Amino acid sequence: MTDVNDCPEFFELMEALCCDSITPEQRARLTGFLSSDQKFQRAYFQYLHMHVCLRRALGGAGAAERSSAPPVQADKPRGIPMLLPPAARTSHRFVFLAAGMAAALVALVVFLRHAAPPAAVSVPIATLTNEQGCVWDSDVSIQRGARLNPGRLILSSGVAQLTFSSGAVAVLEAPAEFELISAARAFLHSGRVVVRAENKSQGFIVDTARAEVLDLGTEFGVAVDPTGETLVQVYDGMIEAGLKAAHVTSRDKKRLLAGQAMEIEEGASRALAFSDDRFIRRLPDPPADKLSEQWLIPYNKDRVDSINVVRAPGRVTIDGNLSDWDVSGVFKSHCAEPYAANYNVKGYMMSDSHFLYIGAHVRDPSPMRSVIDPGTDPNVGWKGGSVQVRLSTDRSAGWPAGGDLFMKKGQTRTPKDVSNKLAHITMWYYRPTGQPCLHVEYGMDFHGMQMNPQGYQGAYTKDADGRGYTMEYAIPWSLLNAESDPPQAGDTLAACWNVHWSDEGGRLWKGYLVDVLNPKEEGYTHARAATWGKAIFRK
Amino acid sequence: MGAEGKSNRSPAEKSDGQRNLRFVGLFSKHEHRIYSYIVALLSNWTDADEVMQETSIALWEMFDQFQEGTDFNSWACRVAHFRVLRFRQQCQRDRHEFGNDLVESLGETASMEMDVMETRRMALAGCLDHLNPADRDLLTRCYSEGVLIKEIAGQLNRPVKAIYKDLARIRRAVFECVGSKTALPEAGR
Repeated sequence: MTDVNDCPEFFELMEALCCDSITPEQRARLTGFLSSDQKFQRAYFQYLHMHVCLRRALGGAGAAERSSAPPVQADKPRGIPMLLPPAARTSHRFVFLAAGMAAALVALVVFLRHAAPPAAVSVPIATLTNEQGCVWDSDVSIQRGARLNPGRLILSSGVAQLTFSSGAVAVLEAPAEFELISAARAFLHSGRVVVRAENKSQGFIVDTARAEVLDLGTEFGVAVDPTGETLVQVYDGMIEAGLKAAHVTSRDKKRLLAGQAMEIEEGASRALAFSDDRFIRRLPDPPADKLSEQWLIPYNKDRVDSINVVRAPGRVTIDGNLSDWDVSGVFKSHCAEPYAANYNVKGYMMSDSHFLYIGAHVRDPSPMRSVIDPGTDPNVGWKGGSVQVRLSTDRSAGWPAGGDLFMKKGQTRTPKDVSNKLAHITMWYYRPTGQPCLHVEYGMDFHGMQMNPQGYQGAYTKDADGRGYTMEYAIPWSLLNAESDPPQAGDTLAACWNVHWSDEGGRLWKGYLVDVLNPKEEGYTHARAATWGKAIFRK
Repeated sequence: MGAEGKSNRSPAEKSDGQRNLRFVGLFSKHEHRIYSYIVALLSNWTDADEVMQETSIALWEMFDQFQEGTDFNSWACRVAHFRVLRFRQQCQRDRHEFGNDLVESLGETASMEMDVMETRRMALAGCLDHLNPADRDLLTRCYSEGVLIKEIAGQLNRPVKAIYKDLARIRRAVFECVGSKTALPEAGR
């Protein structure tokens, strides 16, 4: 199968299209590419989208006001710099648009986008004083030192330190939506933040949909999950949390002291065990080596399309030592250079009539560091360093597996999409308690989540040099909905592996590899079961 | 927690001002994807601008039909899709860039890619940060509104062809960078 990246002509044609200089002959060639394979269609759409976004990001704020500008010249990159074309167009249609609601909308858009906001909100109230690995959902680059006006920040990846002009310091952990309200107030829509508000900055408030958290001279963390549920934990001093509820006019107030935590649902709260590692309180230490300084993301090119699931050789002791395993089914994979030596995996799978066994030796500069709490954050267990295996136990379906997360237009979910026999297994070592964690979800709709369910065993050992670990799990077939018909020797089912690495703090995701893949399919393994490689069950 | 949100209020309950703000908020967030969708189907910037204009008006006029809690982008692209088809019919020209089958196929592919597009857009800012200053400067110049490539060539005292060549190289590098960074969504599940 030809890789799009190996087709320079395709990219030449895309360049001609972006520059609006494409000839009929070139267009015919482009049509040929697009008709030949969906992967060219994907690359075509992605390239055009990149061009559109570049135009928006770099096109300049004056674009929308250039109503008297000449038509776009033939030799400059084309695109759409304006929010709404009518505001920027000189065509005859603008006359039509000048009337009625459309004009009102245009006026509104222009006001929101370009008119000066009220003077009070144009003053910077915070500074991005430090960051690591930050990716912002923003049209403009937000660099360290940036002065930030009131408004909503969307942090997609990394961790950021914001210093408010009141002196309060907030450490924001992705993914998060954090709205700067004033020098002494912010709204956390989702994600996690730790605020240190000492001395003169006392009185800082973090709002959420469920609570108003008032600092009384302290350091505290606030987490908001996608449903709005709020978690508050105090590291130092004291806070007062006013609980919000639609039907309550006077807020119930709770005070928390250092070492206490609580969960807040709508108008109600409950005490929670304090966990020191629940939040990132300081930015991770600067990386020791130059490679890490660049904060590149380790990733890989897939290497194998199948894994052998061998028969377990008698009794297997789950102790983090694979010496009693049949390791003949091993697959090996590593991240692309320069990470290969320190970010790699040897993966093993075995089976018997009761259990699926998953073993791995992972080279990891920060092994077994995860602080992702299975009790409060089961769905992001992968972030802190983990091994994920996706497996179909559907013997009648065989390989390749079917089932999709995303639906096409007008499409409804099929039984394949929601099959209980498609399992997403995430395994990590939870450092604070030393617990080998197991998280399982089913189907491509990710239903039926189980966190540390009954019946599994897991164990980890750290490499002697402290730069890797061995993990070993025995998972009963019942947890994979296959107890009545477990896979048998001779079966070829579907499976794939993801291995994730984190920073030393065990919370900040650094990168991953994906392997055991179907080379004939493209897409994300969490979204398309057809992308999974073969799990060949041996005698 | 998408911007579409979990509002419990129906559109009828909202004031005009709220409706305006709601629409602008949603449209601003999704406009890059809607426009990319239209461009992909038409493969012609002038035509795409025309259809985008009509689509934006149609979306505004039909906004009361949008159901809160559903996917605005998906709804908007469906509207855009019909506008594209209508545009192709109205033009009645035989010089359509793509045949009907390819347009339908591209529409389906683009719809499947939509969820990744937001991640790709987010990754783009990081990739621009990794460009060396000279490349970043050239890219910024080339995307500046109203500037011709030949003007840039003159400013930099370089042949026009060299500018095009560099622009292609930089865009390709950014494209590959975004591709590598969009490994992120995979990690989300």
